[in-house]
Amino acid sequence: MTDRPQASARALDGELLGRLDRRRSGLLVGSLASGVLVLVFFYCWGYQIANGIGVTGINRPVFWGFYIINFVFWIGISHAGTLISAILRVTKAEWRRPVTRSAEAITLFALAIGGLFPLIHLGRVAIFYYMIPYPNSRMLWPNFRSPLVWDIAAITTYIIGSALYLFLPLIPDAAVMRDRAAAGLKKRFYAVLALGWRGTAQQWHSLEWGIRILAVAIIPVAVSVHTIVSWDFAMTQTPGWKSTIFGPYFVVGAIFSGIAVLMIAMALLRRGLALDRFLTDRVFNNLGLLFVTMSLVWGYFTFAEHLTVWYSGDLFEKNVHHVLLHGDFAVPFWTMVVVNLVIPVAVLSFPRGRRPLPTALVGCGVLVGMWLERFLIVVPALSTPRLAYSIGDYLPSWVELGIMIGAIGVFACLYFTFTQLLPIVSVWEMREGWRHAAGGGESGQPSGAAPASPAAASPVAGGGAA
Amino acid sequence: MTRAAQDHLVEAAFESVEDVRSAVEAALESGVAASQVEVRSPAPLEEDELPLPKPKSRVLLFALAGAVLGGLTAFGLAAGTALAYPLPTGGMSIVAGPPVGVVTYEGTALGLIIMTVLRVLWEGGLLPGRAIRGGRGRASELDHHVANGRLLLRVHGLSEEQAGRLRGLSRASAVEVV
Repeated sequence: MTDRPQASARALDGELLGRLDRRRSGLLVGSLASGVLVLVFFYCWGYQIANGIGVTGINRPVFWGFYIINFVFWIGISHAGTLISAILRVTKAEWRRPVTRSAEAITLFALAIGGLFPLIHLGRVAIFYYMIPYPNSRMLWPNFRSPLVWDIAAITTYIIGSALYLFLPLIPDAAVMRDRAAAGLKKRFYAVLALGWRGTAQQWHSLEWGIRILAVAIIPVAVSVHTIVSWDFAMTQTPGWKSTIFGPYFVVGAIFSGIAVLMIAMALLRRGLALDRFLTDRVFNNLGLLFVTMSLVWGYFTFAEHLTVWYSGDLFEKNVHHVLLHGDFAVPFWTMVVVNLVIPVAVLSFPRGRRPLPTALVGCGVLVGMWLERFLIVVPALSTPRLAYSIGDYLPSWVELGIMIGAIGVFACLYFTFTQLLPIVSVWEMREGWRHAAGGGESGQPSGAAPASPAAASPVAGGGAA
Repeated sequence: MTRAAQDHLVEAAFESVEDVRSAVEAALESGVAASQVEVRSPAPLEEDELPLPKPKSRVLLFALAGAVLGGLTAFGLAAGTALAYPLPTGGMSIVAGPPVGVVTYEGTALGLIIMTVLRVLWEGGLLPGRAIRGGRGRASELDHHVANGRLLLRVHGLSEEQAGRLRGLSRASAVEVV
């Protein structure tokens, strides 16, 4: 290890800790603004609990409305983190280091919100435990026959796995925060999270084993979750839903929307916390390439799905297909195709398009497009049933709209709070990357960071309480 | 020699792995056993970077055991609930493959994940009440150096003479020695 890379790594280390210590007013404003939406969320949900499910626009034949659309949407977003982070860890992609923590946090919060929507959809949320198998007073054991019950098993596994997958690599960073914090409540908070971590060889060895195993284990769990969510639809006889490719189609869509949220969050963090030298253009370029690849894969699945339905000649399937492509739902359908396929490919195919601002804007479009995709899966199929006399319509009520917008606030509030309390960039993983780069005698430039500026090359005070 | 006389502790913070390695080599050459040496680092070190025994881990073994346990429990729950309250299936099997398979799959993963994390915490002495042998893992007044990216060498169970010699050796390259 030469002196120069080591000094550069030390400087970057100090700079990263300094960036994470500094509290930004933007984050506080973001937390407060999203806090207002949190109130909207709970007001609307409370109103529905008090007045019953009749306050929504859900009615015969469209029994699944905004709540199920949002359930699928948020579960999809949850694939941002754990799956992407796990794949990048398993493939040892060095540029993953500044991204993983943020991605894992997105997963956990999106899952928590996604998991709420079926409960909201139940209406009488207090009796949700009827779905859990337990011997009740009449010895009625709920069976695991329905994909809706499989959802409970899959989402429970995924949320526990994601929480632990976020927590385990967070322990060393909590210890860093503990040892840098001045005595008081803050220090005690970090001490609880750090669980007595000291950075011994045994602790690192066990942690690395644990992360490696979790990274491998969480990938099939993530895939299974969205596959099972797709079976909520595909296991029925409803035209427009009964499809053999729904499983992989949903998984691809989930990863696609997950990357979209990740791109937006990374761009905001880079700007908000001035992390330009850690969330570098290279990170955005690589994520942008992954993003455009997923856009093309999504486009292929969409084409395959609609081509087989069109070619089948099945009358009921073609009715649903017709309203999608040429009927009442044509505008959202073609908007979805433009924002999910045309724009990402047009923008992200060029290196200039894979910078923070363009990728974040494309990500916003993709989120709209992926929400529309879920809307177009749920509503047209239910409003165009086999029996012509039961054709119906669906218009969401203000309660559903309020809950949907409020959920975005809940997510933002959780994410901003997490960013304020804990290092959103994994400090120890960055350090490990710098050590690898310096020890490997590459260019002397630590990985995951932009070339050191003269200011950064100056000695950085490592000590000092936060 | 009494136990108290052999109970001196030397702690030194270093900037680089090379400096720690030199200090560890010096300590080992002076007759200190490897089991008395503890190195704390801000990031994982490569296995061959220090002349110390490699740590061992049974996380994988426990993960597999957790997977088996979780899978069996989930299978029992899915099959048991179907048998405890049989639904009309029109002649098809009561314990059906797809539902039992899905639940068993998720249970296997859940068992593996939980057991992995528990074992990592156990091996690292991070569970409440977990005994830490020989003062290892205890808080140090130099822990802030590790938080700020340096390495910390701790040598336990030294005689006064050994401790003095080691302090002297470390002072040349260490940032701080106590």
